[in-house]
Amino acid sequence: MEINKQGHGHYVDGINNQDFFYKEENFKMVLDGCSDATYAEIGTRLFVQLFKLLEDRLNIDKFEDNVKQVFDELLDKFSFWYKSQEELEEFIMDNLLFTIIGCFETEEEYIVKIFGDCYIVTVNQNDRVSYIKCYYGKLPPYYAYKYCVDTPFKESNFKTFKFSKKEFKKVGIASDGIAPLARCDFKTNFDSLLVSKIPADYSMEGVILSNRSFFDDDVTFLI
Amino acid sequence: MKEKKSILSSLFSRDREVLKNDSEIYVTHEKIPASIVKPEEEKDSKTVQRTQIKPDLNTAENDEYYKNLVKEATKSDDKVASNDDKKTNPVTDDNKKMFPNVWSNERFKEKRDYTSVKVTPVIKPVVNKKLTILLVEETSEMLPYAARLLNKNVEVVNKDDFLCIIRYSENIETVVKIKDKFNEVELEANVDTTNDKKSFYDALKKAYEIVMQYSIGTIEDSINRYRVCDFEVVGMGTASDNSSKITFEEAIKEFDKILNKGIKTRYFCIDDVYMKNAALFGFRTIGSMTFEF
Repeated sequence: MEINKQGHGHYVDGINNQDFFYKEENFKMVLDGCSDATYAEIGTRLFVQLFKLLEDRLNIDKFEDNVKQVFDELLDKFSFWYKSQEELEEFIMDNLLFTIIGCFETEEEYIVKIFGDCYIVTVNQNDRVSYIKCYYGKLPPYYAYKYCVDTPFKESNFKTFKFSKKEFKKVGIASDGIAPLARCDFKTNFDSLLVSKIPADYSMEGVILSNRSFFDDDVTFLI
Repeated sequence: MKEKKSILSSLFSRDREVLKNDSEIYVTHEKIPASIVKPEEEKDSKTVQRTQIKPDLNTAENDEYYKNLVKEATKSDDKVASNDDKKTNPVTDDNKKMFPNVWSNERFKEKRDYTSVKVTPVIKPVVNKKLTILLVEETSEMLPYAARLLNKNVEVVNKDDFLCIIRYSENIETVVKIKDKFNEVELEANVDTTNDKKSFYDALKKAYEIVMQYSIGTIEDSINRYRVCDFEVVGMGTASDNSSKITFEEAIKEFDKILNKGIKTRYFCIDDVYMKNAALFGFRTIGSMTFEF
């Protein structure tokens, strides 16, 4: 199931949907563009276009290297246009600030790798839905900061969570735009749609659209 | 139009003398000769029936009883009644002599001091309240975070709402009160630095017992009745266990009963490593105090 909707706040302010996602068999990825970045939607779409060209993209152990490779190549191409480091950093701040969330599904477990603010949604064996909030404060880390000179997240790396399939039926990943769902701001029972056996993509989209005013930020949800 | 009065009231009123002179009085649509109200004269069959309604005041026991009442009434009259009241008071010596028992009975009822009677409301208003149950782990691991976590969660609770603090380590300690009535000491984090035993499963069972206890019926105090209409369960710690009496499966079942009631649940982990533990139970929102790459 994939949901990718523009947030009401962004719609009102005339900002594009900065979230993007990529899904393959046993792999899904969500990219959540930073709202303060002017062209974050460009960065997310560029990244996905290059990432899906990689041969080892489904290799769990090489995920971090793959991400690094894409960023290296992107900045390599654009550094030709920006002569100084300051200009290049400005380009990074405008285009490449986005959270990266990847989820691999193996025979035994779900492996989630995150870099930045996001939500991990789990469904346990009793069909209980949990929203795990990964929140790093007012200054969340972005991978692109590694290419800037003075940043606190230079040595940061992906955080990995493993969820056994014996304990959890489903594991999904989402951008932090689904916070109203996690907080139960509106009365519609979204959880029952998540645990239903019938695919409920359209009804879930309907829930988000009908309660659109609650969602200030863009919403991306893969499960 | 002549004045309508019942026989008893006409007999016992001070206007009796006036009524004597009237030719007749009206009692319940029947014309009764005025002569029947005169105690000296002979009474016909109708008046005999009427007079049977009157209580038998002439027995010796009643005499003593009413004498006591007269004494009490006169005492209370002396204390309470003002000068103006005495003027309007129909209790005269002549009347007392003529009908001592009746006067004392009627006047005693009229002259009660109602100012000293406390009126208590029979039906207390029902006030809806929310009960927040805090599950606080008290182990050495929690030491750096306990105070911050507890304060953060207690602050969110409205001061008029109910707050339940379940502290658990090896044993379980429970306190339920309105938040405003907690002492400062009770709200402080009380972490045992030497203890590493956690009975989290037992605490979940206890939480369910409290939900059941307070979801039925009302709690009363001197002013109101309180009905708990909303619950919230907030856990803080590692969501792990090593010394509970019940098993993991039983604990999940107990917690599932809470979730079946549609109760909101949250869990604050002290580290992101433990978030998976809380997700196993199905806590709806899970957060972590520390998140470092």
